[in-house]
Order: sequence, then C-alpha cells, then structure tokens
Amino acid sequence: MKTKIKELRKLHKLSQSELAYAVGTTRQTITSIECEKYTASLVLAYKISKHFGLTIEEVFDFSEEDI
Amino acid sequence: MDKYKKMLVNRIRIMSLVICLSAVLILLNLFGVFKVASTDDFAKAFLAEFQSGLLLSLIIFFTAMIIRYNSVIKDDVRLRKQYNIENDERKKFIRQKAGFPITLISSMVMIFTGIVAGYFNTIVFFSLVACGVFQLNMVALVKLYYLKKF
Repeated sequence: MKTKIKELRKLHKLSQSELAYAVGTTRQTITSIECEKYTASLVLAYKISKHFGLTIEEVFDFSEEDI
Repeated sequence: MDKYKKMLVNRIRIMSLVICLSAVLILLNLFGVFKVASTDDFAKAFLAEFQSGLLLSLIIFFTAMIIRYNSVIKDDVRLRKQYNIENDERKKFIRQKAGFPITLISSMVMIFTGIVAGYFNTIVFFSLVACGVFQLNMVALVKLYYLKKF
C-alpha cells in the first residue's frame, strides 16, 4: 500500500525512530510500511495519521487492489 | 507502563529461579547424582555434557536478560522502547506466521523430555533432541524468511 509517511516525516523533520517511538512501534515496521512491504493495521494507521494531524485517507493511499 | 514494569520484575524473579535450579542441576550432575542406564560410554558422556551445556547456556542467557531488564526498568525511555519492541504488530504478525509460541514450547518440551528420557534410554534421548533442534531450526528459517518478506 502506498503511503505518504516518508514525505510527511521529512516535512516534520522526524526520523523513523522518532516516529516509531511516538506511535508505539519499531523503526523496522515504519521502514516496512514506507517500502510498501507491510500493510499497517487500522490502529497503527490511525496513530500515524493522528500524529501528523491528518486523516487515514490523507496518509494511506487505498487502491482497489488493497481493498 | 507500570503494568509492564511489574511484568518485567516478575520475569526477573522467574529467570532468577530458573538460574538457581539450573545451577543446582549442574552441581548434581557434576557430583554424579544421576545415573544413566546405558552402558555405552559415548552416550553417557554425551548426555551429561549436553545437559550441562544446555543448563549453562540457560544461565548465561537469563543472566544477560536480567541485566538488560534491570537497566530497562530504571530508564523510562528505554522501557517504552522495550515495550514497543515486544508489542510491535509486525513482529507479532511474523511470530504468528512462524508458528510461535507453540513450536517453541513443543521444541523445548521435546528437548527437556529427551534429557529426562536419556537416563533410561539413549535412543529416545537422541531422537527427541534431534527432533527438537530440527524444529527450532525450521522455525528460525521461517522467521528469517518472513522478516525479509515483510
């Protein structure tokens, strides 16, 4: 699943570790989500979106294939 | 976080108990309290050394874990990081895919049962230990595969 996490991180000047710490996950998970290897759960997606002050749809790109 | 802190303290207590028990078993083994039924010298020596080696590695591993947990408990940032590592959803997902925790439990049961059975029959000991080690290796391989995949 495509995400805007990397762009948002750069915009907010956050490292992967800092974001991971803030949303209660690990750096490796953030890397996997950014590389589109792993699809975040609804809870994690919500936490990440909330951290950037955006909605889930604004951070995660839901295509037909993902749904 | 307080709940997790308490959980770590409990883990430290359990690991300390296992370390004490392992040390007692190693000492009993050294003094030859347990008698092996087999007359084969190789099997006798292998069983005794395997048991001592396994218990010693348990002691070393748990001591390292106790040191780590003690330092984590004192630092709130490290405590949170440790909590995040243990409750990371991707890691949980990979563990589930690799068959944790049931494969790990069954492998450990096989190895420990094998050691006990070894005092009566060495063939059972070798079979059970080989099965347990093989299963552990397979789980590790599957876990590595999924770590790469996700």
